[in-house]
Amino acid sequence: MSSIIKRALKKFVKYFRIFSASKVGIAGLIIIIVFLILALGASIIAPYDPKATYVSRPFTPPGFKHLLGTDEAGRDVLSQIIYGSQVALIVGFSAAAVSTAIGTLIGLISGYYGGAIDTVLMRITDIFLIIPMLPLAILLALFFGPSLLNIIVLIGFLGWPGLARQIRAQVLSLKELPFVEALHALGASSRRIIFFHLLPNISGLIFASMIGGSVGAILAESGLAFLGLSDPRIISWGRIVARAIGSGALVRGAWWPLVFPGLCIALLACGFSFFSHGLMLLVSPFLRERR
Amino acid sequence: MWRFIVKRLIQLFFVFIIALTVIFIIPRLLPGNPAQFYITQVGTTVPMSEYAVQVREEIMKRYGLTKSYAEQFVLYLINTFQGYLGVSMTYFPRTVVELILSRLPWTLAIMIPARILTFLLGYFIGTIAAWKPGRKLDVVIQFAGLSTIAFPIFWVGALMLMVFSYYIPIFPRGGSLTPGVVHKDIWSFLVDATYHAALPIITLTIFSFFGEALIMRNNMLMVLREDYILTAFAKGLSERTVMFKHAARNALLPLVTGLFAGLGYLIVGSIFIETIFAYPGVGYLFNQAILLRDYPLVQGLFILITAITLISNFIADLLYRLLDPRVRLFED
Repeated sequence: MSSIIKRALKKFVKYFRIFSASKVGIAGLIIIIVFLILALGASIIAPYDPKATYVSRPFTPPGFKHLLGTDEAGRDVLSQIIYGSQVALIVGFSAAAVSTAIGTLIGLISGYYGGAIDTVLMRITDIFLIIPMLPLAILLALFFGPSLLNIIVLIGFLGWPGLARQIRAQVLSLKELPFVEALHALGASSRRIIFFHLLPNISGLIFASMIGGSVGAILAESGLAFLGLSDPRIISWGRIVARAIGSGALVRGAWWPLVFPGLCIALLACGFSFFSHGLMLLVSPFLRERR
Repeated sequence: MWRFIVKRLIQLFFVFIIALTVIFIIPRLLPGNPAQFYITQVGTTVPMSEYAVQVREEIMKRYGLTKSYAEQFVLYLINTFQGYLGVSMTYFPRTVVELILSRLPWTLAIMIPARILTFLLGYFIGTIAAWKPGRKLDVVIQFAGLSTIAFPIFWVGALMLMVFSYYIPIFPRGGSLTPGVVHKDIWSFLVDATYHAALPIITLTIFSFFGEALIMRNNMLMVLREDYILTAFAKGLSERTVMFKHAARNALLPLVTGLFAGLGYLIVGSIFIETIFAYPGVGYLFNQAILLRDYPLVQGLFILITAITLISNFIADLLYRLLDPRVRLFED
């Protein structure tokens, strides 16, 4: 048992060394980890209850009492941002997981079987690619209600077509390789070939694009939240900005409830896209060999 | 060429029908019939019950809700293709199409200049950046081009408004015209409209031009490797001639088609920008429709945005074929 762990650890160290050659990737990883710590330890780290209102101090500028100031109802902006990171990460990861799962499945099946199945699946993919995603998400969120679960499913369900095309292209070239032919000769079933032999070969690409997909998910969530389509029970970065604007932050010259949550959205989105950029080094073997 | 056009048009029509079908199905998936669904909403947004009854009758008429789903669907398709998208709930007697058309000029007034500015700036700055790769300008373009995608557009808009209308009050604080001012002639109207449109246009341009410049830069770098560039230099032509007359012309192709392919994104961006600047265009209308839960209006706007996206994609494809003979040859 210990030898397995040791081997896994050794592999991890090896991969991490390759990954760490990319400074951008490391920066992305650090950003994600910082937000992860904030999200997990929110109840300990946050100095105030994010929903507690202090009516006597609306729009308090940043200072010792409130490091990032307060919003229109006297809520502490820093605490809201810390709790908001939970939502951003949950939506980012899970929506990306949903769309990665759908995209991978469709790409694998389409690429492996080809023929009529491929044609039908790719036509469906084209339709999803061309229909404007955000307006559709708005429409669906409006009808089904903007609960957190709905938002995740929606963003996930609309974000897969790009990945499906990538995976299909990979599978098309992979399935012509001799090892697949050998598997056929050995009598392996299609399902076995797809899930035990093709899937592991593209797992790196899948992982990297899942991380990359989180960027789109986080931005889509903040956009929907800005338009008032977010779960009213939770704190989302986009909603802090929208609420501040709606309650006259601009007239009062209160820049802090606008600037900080927006910076967090951008920072986390950058973090994910940097990390995914670094992961591509692991995925693409010829990039690796050069080092 | 004609075969391509016909094939593509059939495909577009098919996609459009599917989008319409989705809109048809969604309200029917929910419990109760759509009219009831609308009415409960109307009850909350329009307090007068007389209105509610009128709206309800209009909706019943529009969807033929007493008939079967199949008949309803056919009626709905016929209505849509005849340009009838129903009646707004918040602006009751006015139809959705009427409302959209009345707001469209404002949206075009900021979108078209923003698109043209983005294109021109992207073209020039991208070309110059590619000429000396690794220089300061090039690094800035690469970094900004990749990172602007990470910034939410509504946030960029809010910051611009805060800085240039509140802290340094150069631009108006929103709207499309100075309220209460009667314009004597067309010129004073144009000046006022331009003054109000300036900041939204600048914001949209800043948000999208770095990405455009990056595309131009990358295309330039590809084109510069071609043999004919070397030939042009060997002929003794000046750097500027080679750069703009030989290289940039070919690198420009994706930008030209992008003029149309990007229209759909621009409209989505306008939802946020117009909301921030309280600019009374289609995007602002969309935001109001969402806030007031005006379902027919949201649906109508979705149909409009889908149609524009599909048509502009089609034009982009067509342009690419017209401008780049290689694509046509490859097809044949």
